[in-house]
Amino acid sequence: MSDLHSNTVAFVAGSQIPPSPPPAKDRGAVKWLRENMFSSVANGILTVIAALVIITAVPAILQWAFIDAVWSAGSLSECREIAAANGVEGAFACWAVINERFNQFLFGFYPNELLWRPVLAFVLMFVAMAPVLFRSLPKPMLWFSAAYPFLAYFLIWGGLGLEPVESSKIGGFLLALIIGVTGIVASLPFGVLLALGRKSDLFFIKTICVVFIEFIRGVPLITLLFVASSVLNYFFPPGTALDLILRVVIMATLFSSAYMAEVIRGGLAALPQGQYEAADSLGLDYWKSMRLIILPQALKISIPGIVNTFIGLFKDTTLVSVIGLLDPVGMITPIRADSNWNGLVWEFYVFVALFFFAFCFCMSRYSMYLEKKLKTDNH
Amino acid sequence: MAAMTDAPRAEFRLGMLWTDTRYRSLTIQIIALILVILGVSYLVSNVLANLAALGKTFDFGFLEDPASYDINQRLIEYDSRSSHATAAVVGILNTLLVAFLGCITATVLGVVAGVLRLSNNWLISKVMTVYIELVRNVPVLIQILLLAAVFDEFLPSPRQAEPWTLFGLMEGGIVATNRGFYVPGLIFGDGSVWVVLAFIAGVIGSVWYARKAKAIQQDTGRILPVGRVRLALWVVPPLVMFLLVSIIAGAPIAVEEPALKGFNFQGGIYMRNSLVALWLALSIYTGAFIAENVRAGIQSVSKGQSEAAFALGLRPNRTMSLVILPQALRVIIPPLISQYLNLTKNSSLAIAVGYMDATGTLGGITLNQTGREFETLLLLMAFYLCISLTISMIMNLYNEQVKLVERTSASGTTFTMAKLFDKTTGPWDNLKKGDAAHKTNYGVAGFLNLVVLLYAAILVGLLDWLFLAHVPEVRIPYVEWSFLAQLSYLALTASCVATLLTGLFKHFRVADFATLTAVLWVVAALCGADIGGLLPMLPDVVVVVGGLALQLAAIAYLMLGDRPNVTYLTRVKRDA
Repeated sequence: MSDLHSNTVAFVAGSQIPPSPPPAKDRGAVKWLRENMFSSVANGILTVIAALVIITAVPAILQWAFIDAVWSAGSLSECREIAAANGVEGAFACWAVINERFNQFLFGFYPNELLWRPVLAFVLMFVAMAPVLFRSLPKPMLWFSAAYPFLAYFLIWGGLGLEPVESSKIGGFLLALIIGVTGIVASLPFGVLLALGRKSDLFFIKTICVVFIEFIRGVPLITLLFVASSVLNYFFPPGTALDLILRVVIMATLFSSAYMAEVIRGGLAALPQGQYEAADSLGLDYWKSMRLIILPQALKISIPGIVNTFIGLFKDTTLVSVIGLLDPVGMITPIRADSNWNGLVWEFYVFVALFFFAFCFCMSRYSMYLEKKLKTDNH
Repeated sequence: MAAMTDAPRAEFRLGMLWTDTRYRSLTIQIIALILVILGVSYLVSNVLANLAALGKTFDFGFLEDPASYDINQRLIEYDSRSSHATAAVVGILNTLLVAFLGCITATVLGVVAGVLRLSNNWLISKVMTVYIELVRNVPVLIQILLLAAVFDEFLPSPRQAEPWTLFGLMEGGIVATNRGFYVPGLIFGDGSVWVVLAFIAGVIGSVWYARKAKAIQQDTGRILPVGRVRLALWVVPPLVMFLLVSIIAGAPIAVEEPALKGFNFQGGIYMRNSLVALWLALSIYTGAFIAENVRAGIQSVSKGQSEAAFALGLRPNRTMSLVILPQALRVIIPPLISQYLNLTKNSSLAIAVGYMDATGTLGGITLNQTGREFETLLLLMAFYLCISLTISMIMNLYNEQVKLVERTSASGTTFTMAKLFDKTTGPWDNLKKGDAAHKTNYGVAGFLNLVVLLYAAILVGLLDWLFLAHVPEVRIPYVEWSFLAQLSYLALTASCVATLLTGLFKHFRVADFATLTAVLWVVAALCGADIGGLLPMLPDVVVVVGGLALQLAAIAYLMLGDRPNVTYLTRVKRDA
């Protein structure tokens, strides 16, 4: 009888032995370390070097930036006294200078009692952006978005009852944002037109667009800023003297519209040919097919590229310091020259770099997230 | 039958200019043309009125005036009495210098960081991610200014500086001071030209040997040791020549090390802090972008490829060099080249740290001193445009080489050299190697190529006029030659470039072009061009005939000799 097998054959185990755990080197942290840190001799050496560097550098940086740092003082010598009183030896960060000049880094020499105006403009910017980004919001809010540029200009520069503020007083991150945001928003329509022109069959229009795009992309932004600072006024009727910020904004717009055109051209090229043919077969004319069929899809594909262009332009706004505008980088030189703070280097650059990093890093993550989201939508 | 399909001929009415699609595009273009002309003339008239109001003119005469400012980092002779044009050339060379150095270090940094970011070492890949994300998201200007400020503030003065002696290998070594960096330099003595020639011969020999080895492997399957022999061919000939010349005439190449004299270091190569800061910052910044390109390129090769290679029994390093890299490079190189372009354009930020590049001289001090904004900015932009267009032409040529033949062809508007040739010489396939039609079309193609050559010559002449006409020091004195000689000389330059391109791109059309124009060596010499003057120590006849022979041999070898097997890039179908 087969069911009595266990009774007839004495050495067959009647129950299963519990499985023994895997060897110590193949589980838990050890396994992870062996696989991810010491998978080969070369890898092991690299790990040790990297670990040594991190162990020496990170605590030193933390010590410099936080533990030994001085947060409020009136001058560098005061900073040093406080540090000495705290028993600090060696280098330490004197964040007091950032603390004292914080408003200048943010707003330039904007009058202190009027600071609510740029802040309000900044907050309203998000309100204006919301209906563009989220379609679920009520349509009438778009009217506010359309009016926002004028409102922001009115708030920042004043006039019509508000106390006017001179352009030379505007600086810091406020200026970087003004140039970056205006440049990117104004360049969108130009970019769309240039991209359409470059893809068009009309030889003459195509040539103009190609020449413009390749010219702008071929020269560094700094030369265009030189044009803004020294030549642009010549192109206007005699007697007009445009504000330097406005001239810079014009050139930044031209600059980013060329890059924008290439991004949108990529979006147009990525659309399947069938979409164009379908639009034609519906009997739509060129502008209708573009407006109703092609551009909504092409622009959607190009959103990550547009965000990247914005990041690039925002980083490039630092270049205006070369032509004497007081953006955050331009603010550093006068503060470094101040006898109170003479001798500080790292603090300024680290602070400005961190600000730009925070902004650009978030934007690039957002663009990556969009890219992923749009990819799944399309397929 | 025909009458049935033909539409009745409508009489032309004015409205049809807009309603009839046959005429509409023409109408739109003419309207656009008129608008553009009106717009441009409006701007130009404004400019003229404004200039007239200020009493300014538009001419380039100022380029010959003395610049009267000093440039302390320079590659060619310059002093404050030199002309503005010389200053501009010094600046341009400085731009090219920092761009060249930056491209090399950025590539090294980027490739290392990109590969390490993909490594299975968790710690290393995280460290590289931090580097890439941190650097990419901070404006490059801040990085340049920070490095320059740190060098100026925290490096010791020359008297207190401790040279880094490369672990005791050198006496002087590398010195970093708050006035600049001093590194050992080479002094090329009398016999050094022979050492350099031996080195070039060794390089050519190693290329020849590698091809021979490849051909033998293709024929017989026998694998010759390439790596070791190549290394030997690079090192041994110059070394032997160095020893030979040293015995006969004393050491031809000597190392000059910086040494402290008085308040400063003397000797060796001196690099200002601004140059080093700019170079390092641009390398670090661009390196982060290149790392991302490298990562994307390697990731674009699917895992199946390496698994298939392993299944064939290839070892990991062979898999990398034969299977992964050729495919990854196709993805990596185009963005890599545009990163080089970005680096070159970003080098214009030199003006922020006082390094005198093209922007610093032409667009900086010269602009401010002469007040000629239009002229200087025009020249400056023309210079950057030339660089950009050259780089994008190289990129297009490369893309044409490595392009996968796909079923759908995007109707791109990109300009490529091959397309240009196609337009002038007929379908590309007729001239491809291995095609019987090749020989029959040779004459026509050659003639039309000469037309292209003429364009090239005019372009070179234009550049020459724009940049070098005012700088007698760096220019071959061909202004004094006859018109025909000048033209031949320019054509000759184009011809040499074409020969180089032949070697780089294996483009048969380029080879035709180079062959036909090689004859211009003789024409140029007959027309009175001072070709012999290029190498003063040899008789003129030797230079002309030898040059011609060398060029022809090079072309013949490059196109007809044992070509390396590049079928994974451009598969030319050959019927058995």
